[in-house]
Amino acid sequence: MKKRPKIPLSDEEIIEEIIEKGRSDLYEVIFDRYSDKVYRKCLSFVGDKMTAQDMVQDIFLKVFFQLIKFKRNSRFSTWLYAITYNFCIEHYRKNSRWTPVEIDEKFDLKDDSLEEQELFAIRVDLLKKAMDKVDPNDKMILLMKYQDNISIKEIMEQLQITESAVKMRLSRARERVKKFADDIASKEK
Amino acid sequence: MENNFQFLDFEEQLPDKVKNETFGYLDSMKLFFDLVDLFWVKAGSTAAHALENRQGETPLTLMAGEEENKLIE
Repeated sequence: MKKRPKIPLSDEEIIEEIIEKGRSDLYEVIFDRYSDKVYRKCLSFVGDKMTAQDMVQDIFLKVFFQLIKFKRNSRFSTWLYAITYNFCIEHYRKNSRWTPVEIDEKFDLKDDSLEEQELFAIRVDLLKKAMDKVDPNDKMILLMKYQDNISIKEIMEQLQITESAVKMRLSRARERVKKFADDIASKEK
Repeated sequence: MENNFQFLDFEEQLPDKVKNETFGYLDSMKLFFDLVDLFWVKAGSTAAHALENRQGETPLTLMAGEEENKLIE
């Protein structure tokens, strides 16, 4: 299928055209803009190309029929990625014996910037391996924050949790990834 | 802000056939929902038409009509 010429409309304007004027043909533009990104995210969770491709189809069909639910107080991409991550986690839950890591409410928050410095100092190859080992919920929140650059406020809205819960989950996730990366590095020595 | 997470992404591209399939499904689903809508519009207009024809008829006049029919028979 040929790709369309670039359309000078923002995602949110396109969604408005689809909802208000019934221009469902414009959904192809959204697909062209995000399908590769959504595919790569699915692939990073499931690791199998065919499964990831099926998931992309399901996600874009689901998103089309839920466009009406899109609240314009966040970016469309944020909403789409949140749906993608939830889809990936749901897939993971159904297809493995995964038990999500329990969240400790009494967890002490450490200095964000110090933790981030340590996280960013992890070599890419180690980080990749550590991210494959980490709990899918931790992986989701780390990718939202550090790959998709989604703000804490938007993560709060998408995951429907409080600001302190977001910060706590991020802190826990950073700590676990760092531990996995350290373990991998020490085994490689 | 650039960090190592930006380099975690795969280089893979989604094959074109997935787009074709997705929009094929979407078209069939839209057609199905259009047919469902059409069914409800048709059912609604038939019901409205039936009600219009019975306007002015109360349960009593309807019963009287039934009695007349019995007498004629």
